[in-house]
Parts: sequence; C-alpha cells; structure tokens
Amino acid sequence: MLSHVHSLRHGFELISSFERLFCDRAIFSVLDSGNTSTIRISEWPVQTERMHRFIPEVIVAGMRKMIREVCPGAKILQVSFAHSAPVYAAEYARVLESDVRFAQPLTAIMLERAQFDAPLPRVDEDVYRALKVVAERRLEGLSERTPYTIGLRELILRRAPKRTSMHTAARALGLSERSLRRQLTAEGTTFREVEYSALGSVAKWMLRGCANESARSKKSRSSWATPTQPHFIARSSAGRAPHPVHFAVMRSSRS
Amino acid sequence: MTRDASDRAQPSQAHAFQAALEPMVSVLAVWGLVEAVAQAGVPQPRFLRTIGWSSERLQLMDEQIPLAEVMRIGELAIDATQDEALGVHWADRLDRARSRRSRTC
Repeated sequence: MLSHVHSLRHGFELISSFERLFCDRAIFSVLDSGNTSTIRISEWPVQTERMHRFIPEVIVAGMRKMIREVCPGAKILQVSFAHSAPVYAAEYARVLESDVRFAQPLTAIMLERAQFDAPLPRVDEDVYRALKVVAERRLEGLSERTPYTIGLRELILRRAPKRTSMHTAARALGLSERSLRRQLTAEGTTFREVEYSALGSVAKWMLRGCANESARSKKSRSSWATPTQPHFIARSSAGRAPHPVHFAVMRSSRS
Repeated sequence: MTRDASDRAQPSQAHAFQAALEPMVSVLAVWGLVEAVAQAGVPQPRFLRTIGWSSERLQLMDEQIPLAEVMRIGELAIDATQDEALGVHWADRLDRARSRRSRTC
C-alpha cells in the first residue's frame, strides 16, 4: 500500500490509520513547525537500558527504511534519540545516513516539510484501494476479537487513580452491567479481578520504573527537575473499601 | 502549592498510568526479529528453541502479544547475535533478505 501513497505525509497517515494491526497504542505523531515536519516517536514502558535503546532504534530504522523506499530522494535533516550515545553510536550515522543526536528531549525524525508533502509518482489508485479494503477488513477482525477483559482493563487504567464502577465501565463499553458480568465470566474473570490486576500493574510499574523515569526526565527536561517533581507512593488501604493500592501524589513542596 | 507545580504534575502522572497499560504488539514484531537473527547467521530453529516459540506460533500474524514478551525476545536476539546494535541493523538486514528472495523468485 505504501508504494501507492501520494506523499510521505500520506504514507505516515496510512501507517497511523492501520497501526492498530501492529500495536494497540500510537507509535508516533507528526508535528509541523515552520519549514520542518517532525515524526515524534512515542515513549515505551521499557525495563532495561538495552531495551530503552532497542525499541526506538527498531522504530526509527524501520521508518528510515520506509522513507527510503517510498521517496528515495528524501533527506532526513536530523534524527534525535532520548537515550544517551551508546558505544556503537557510529553505526547510527552510517545506517540512518543523517545527523544523529543523543540525549535529546524526545526521539524523533525531522524532515523538510516541503519534501514531506511533495507529490510522489507511481500512484495506482486501483491497487491502493484494493489493498486498503484488505487492511480495513483485518482491522475490523482485530476489533471484533478484542476481549472485554482488555477493554475493561484499559478503561480502568485510563481513569485511574479515580476508581471505575461496574456501572460506569459497562456504559463505556456499550453494555448493561449484567451483560458485562456475563461477558467477563465467559472470559474466565470478574470485574474485581480485572480491576485489581490493572491497578496492581500501575503499582508495580511505578515502584520499578519511576526512579528510572524520574532520572531520565531530570536529564532531558531540565524544567521538570524542580523540587515540585511529584513522587508516587502506594500505601495500604486500611480502613477503606477493599482495593489493592491507593495512589497519592505527594509533592515535595508539601512534605 | 502553586498552580505551576500542579500543572507540571499532571503529565508525569498521566505518563505513569499510560505506561502501565502493557502495550500489545503484533506477532509480526517477533517474526521480524527471528528473521533478523537468522540473517545474522543464527539458525532459525535454534533461536526459536532459545525463545521457547514454535514455528507454528510464529505464523499467527494476526495475534498480539505483550510488549514485555517482545522485549524478552529482543534481549535474547541481541545475546544470540552478539550485536548490541541489532536494533539499528534490523531493518537493513530484512531489506537484504527480501532483496535476495525477490531475485530468486
């Protein structure tokens, strides 16, 4: 399908439309500013320094390859990575063929806006439409197969730390409470189990990764490195309704 | 607390919860990694044994798996190839493999 796009921008819009086939969250966003267009790569919840490099490397190298294939003449102005330069930093410049910078506020690919929007030849509308229909069908199939457990989990996490009642969740998922309970039972779980599991993940992530994230944020965004940086703490729920953890944001300015 | 401090707290909190959503990624990511490792000279059956996957599971392209599993396989792929820059070389390796296949078609 990418061989038949009208422009690089159209190519990235297409990837964005169908990225659900590859991943359940946005991989990138495009920001235009003046004469440049920047493809900003999303941050990922990684657990090791090696993966902190590996995931952006894979995405950026893949996008570089896609840009080269769709528009061989396109020149990338700059590639920036949030991680610091590894020992093999020279490989980046060789493979990506552009100005590569490390320890930047975000991971991104910057192109000339005019080149990003320049019309491309070789557009075969019939082939493009036929392939798009195939991709749309696959996307529909994926949506139909998504279990209610996953939908509920995402909903709870998006609303956290505010608790989500079963009534609210059922409405958001387009079901009655009774139907949601029945669907979850069919999937071998309960509302309470999904809620505990989701909030438990948040607690684990915070305890494990918040220190790393905080260190990176301080390094890359000096404006965040202030005494008011929030600290997340998990405390027991003694004396309250059953709940795995309650989260509080305790700011240094109050402590 | 100042309004400024409150405003700054929100993105960090949102990021924490968003990050905990455990992204799901297509089996295609594993397929690509297995191919890249094979291109680096590690026989595919050996690497599949290392990661504990069957070749049948690798063919389930419409399936999605947790990102944590992809990262586990990514770590093993770097170890197997002894290429710390595998993430940078990945796309190029697949490109060369496809070129060879298309020439033989």
